[in-house]
Amino acid sequence: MNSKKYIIIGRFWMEMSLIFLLFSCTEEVDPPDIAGEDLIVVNSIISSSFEQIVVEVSRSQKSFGVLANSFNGDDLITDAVVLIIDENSVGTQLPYNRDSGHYAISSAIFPLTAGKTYGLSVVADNQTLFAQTTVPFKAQKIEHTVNIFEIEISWLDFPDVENYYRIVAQGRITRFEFWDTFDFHSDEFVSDANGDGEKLLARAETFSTRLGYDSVAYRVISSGEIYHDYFKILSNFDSENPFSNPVRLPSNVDNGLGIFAAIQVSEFIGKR
Amino acid sequence: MKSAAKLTIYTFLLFSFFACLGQNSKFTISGYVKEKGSQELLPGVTIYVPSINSGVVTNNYGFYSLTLPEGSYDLIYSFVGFEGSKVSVELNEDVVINQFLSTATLALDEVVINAELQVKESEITQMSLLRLPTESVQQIPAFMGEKDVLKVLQLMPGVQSGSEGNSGLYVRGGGPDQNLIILDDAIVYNANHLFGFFSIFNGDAIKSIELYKGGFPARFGGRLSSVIKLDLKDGNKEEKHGKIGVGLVSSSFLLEGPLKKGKSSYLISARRTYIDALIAPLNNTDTKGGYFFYDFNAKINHEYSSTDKLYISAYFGKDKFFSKDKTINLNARLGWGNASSTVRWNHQFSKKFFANTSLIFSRYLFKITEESGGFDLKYNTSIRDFGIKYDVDFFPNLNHSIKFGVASTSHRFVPNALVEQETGLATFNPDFVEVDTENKFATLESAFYLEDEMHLLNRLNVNAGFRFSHFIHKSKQYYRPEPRIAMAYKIFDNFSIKSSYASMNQYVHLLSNSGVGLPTDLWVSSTDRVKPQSSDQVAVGLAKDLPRNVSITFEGYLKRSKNVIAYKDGASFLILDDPGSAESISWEDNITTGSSESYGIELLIQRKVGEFNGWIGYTLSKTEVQFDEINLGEKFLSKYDRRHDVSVVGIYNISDRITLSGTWVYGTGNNYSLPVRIFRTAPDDARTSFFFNNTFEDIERRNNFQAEAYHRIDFSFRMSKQKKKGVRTWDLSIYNAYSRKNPFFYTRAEKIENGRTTGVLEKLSIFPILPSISYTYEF
Repeated sequence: MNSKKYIIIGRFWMEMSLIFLLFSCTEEVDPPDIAGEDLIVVNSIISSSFEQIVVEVSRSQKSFGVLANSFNGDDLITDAVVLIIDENSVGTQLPYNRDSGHYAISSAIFPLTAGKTYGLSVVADNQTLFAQTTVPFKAQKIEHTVNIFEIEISWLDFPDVENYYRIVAQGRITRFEFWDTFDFHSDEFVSDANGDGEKLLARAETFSTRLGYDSVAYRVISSGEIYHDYFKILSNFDSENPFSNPVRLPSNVDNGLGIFAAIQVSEFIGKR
Repeated sequence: MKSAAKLTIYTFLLFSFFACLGQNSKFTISGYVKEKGSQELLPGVTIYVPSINSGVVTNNYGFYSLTLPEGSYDLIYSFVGFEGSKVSVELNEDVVINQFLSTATLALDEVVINAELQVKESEITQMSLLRLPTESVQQIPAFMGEKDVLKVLQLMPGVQSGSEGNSGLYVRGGGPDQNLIILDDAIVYNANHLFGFFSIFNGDAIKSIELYKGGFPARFGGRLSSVIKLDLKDGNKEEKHGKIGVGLVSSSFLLEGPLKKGKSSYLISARRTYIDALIAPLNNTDTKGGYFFYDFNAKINHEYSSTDKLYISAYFGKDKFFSKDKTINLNARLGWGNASSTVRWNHQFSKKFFANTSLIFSRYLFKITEESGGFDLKYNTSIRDFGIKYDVDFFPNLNHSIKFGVASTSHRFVPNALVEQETGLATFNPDFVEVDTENKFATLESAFYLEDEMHLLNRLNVNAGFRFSHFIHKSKQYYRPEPRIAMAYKIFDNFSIKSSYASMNQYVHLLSNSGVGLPTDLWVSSTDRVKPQSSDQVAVGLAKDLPRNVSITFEGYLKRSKNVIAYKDGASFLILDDPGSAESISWEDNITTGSSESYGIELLIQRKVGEFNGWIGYTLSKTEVQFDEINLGEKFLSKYDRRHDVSVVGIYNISDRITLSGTWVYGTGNNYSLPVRIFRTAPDDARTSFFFNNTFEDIERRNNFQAEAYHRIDFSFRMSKQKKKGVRTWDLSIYNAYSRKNPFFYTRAEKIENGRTTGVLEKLSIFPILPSISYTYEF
């Protein structure tokens, strides 16, 4: 409903802009002298609950000038040497899968353990990139409560470790074959900075409990700081919003861009 | 805290002790300085006594007091924009001298302008202060013919504009929210009309304009970067006068006159645009839309006796956008504006004691209303103040001018209030949703201050002050001591060195993504989670007065600010693709705090009076900011960091009827954030399927691109003629005379040529050469 007000503001902005655009002109100017070098991008989110450990290796491209890639696969690097390394410095190579365009191995071959730190080494285009991540601990004693127009999820933080959590949830209305995604706003990304070892809460508004959800599905994802920051920025950033400032994405990949992060997913589907 | 209070009390007692020493065989000259003809009281007039190389300045209400030993003295009254005057007095008893000054334009012949009678920069203790003659505002070329006080201030060194045509002020690296703009003691929260292309101040109604960039006297507080003090005219006490102005985008009128001759007067002025009428032809029978703004000033004052005066002033202004669409039964209105009112009572206890009590109201409101097809919506955000202020001026002797006072303001913030009603559905569905929410909270901001303007060692002037501010939000209280000092040492005649230090705190903050004065910008306060912003500024400078009324000031400054707030990366209160979330998002969750550092040098060469007058200003500066949750916590250049900023202003009074003026401005380009590269992001497994890929534009560093330099030249030609009942003036202005395509905005675009996609940079320029004409008739 509130979208009405944004429609009004948008219309106001547009009509006023039109007045000034009567005087304005747009012209192409020399590209800025800010273009950095092309970098190799490594993306990998790993979890003991995933069937595979998957790594994606690609090339970035300059924003200005002739664009070499269209990001429909032509940016992927297919001949990289990708190793995942355990705490004993034992590495396992991930073969390239042409169908998926990723480097992957089964999690059964390389099991992940909470609290352990893993490294990722990528050699591509004569460059070596390295990143490491620590597998977080799972959230404990997860509970949910559906109130009028609100769902509340609580869990117990694993103590004495810096933990970050992400909460996502959906409600299912079977008769409409409809999944209502709940928006936790600032509660979607939380940390235990102010509640180490304590019970943490996340609340989301729901569309309407009067219609009734047949079931509620939710995930409590525990992670490290890089995952928290990376997806929080991506989630908040709205490239269509003219008032939203451009942002930077963090990276923990030495000598390149991207993210290598371990998460633990606690997933539940329950009746309301 | 107790020690700070004790220190203040002891300091005051010490001042008072010294002030009372040597009172024997001394007499007091006191009175008011007024404008000749209208009896407007003139604040800030310098009364200089050459024989003792010292003087005083009239207070905010034109009052002054000098206590001197018995003897013969010359008193020189000087004020920027006015013809100075000299009075000789044989002092053997207390005397009252009410002095009248004429505006400088009445005396164009340079021979009669005695340099001795002009304000000398080297005599003024205060540094980083710009006093602007209101006449200059009328004479300087104006955008679309609209005379704008704030845009004239932008032409001063250390003061920068934001984007093209915008009246926002960036003072010594601070943002527009860090400017304390006060109109007759009332805080103005949004000084912009129409995205800041026009300011809310109607130049016709303004009596005096002062801008403090640093070295803030203790009587001011609440903002980090500047104090812009504007006072409305009191109204002519002698005879009725009026002014009618017709311009391209607005018309205005002003009427002033005596209610009781010599005792009381009134002033009313109003202005309204007709942009809605200009765009009316674009409307059709089914859809109508338009925009206009107006502002209204009124003031009355009454002199009950020579010791008691009452002033009541009010301002009301509004921007309004409306849209109607019969095809979808839409009737929408969007409006925002300020309202303020001040009641002030002056009481002169004695020839040395002057007090003022102010009751202040101020409100800024942004509102949306809409009715469409059985759906009603009302949304608003606002800030409302009720304040009380008590200020005392005490002039014990020529070596001390003491000011002290207390102020307290109750703020009420409404970050959002929403009423939704689905009236159409109500008859069919008893479960229809009604929303009626209002988030509001109240805070109390208080302060007391003490300052003493001291004349020491014959050549040393010191303004030492102390302000103690206090802020309450719920159970959270903040106490902040704010020491201030400004010094001027006269090395030679007409040459002095100056220095100052000021500690400032800011308890109310503006959340803005755009920086262009959008009505959606949100005023919020310090809370238990959001600490007050604070700054420390030091400045050193030189002031030299040259022959022919030319003065040179040179200043260097360093300002460090802490707890400055900004939206976090990616956050915005205006969430376009997820509007339903706005009401439930706490603004505190969306902000991050950081620090900033600004430093620079400023040069001002100015000739204030004469046939040909004007100034050249140059600023070399740098501003860097750092926020924990912006730019990955790394330091970056402020968007409006401007390495070089030059302004040249010339006003040539060809005759008493014709004035030619021109301005040229040059500034290093603003900083923008442009993508350096594009790369593939990690799939968001929590929300989408694992192999859903997306791309991201990497800026590498916030504000990584500096736009091309901004420059333009404007001209104005004013021609006045005496008619039977008044004076008519035609004013022809040309904005951006050489039609420079200055950058307003940059964007990355893609174009396809010969089957290849290329990323290109596009520059949007909004104002080419813009001639305008306006007509005024004064009677």
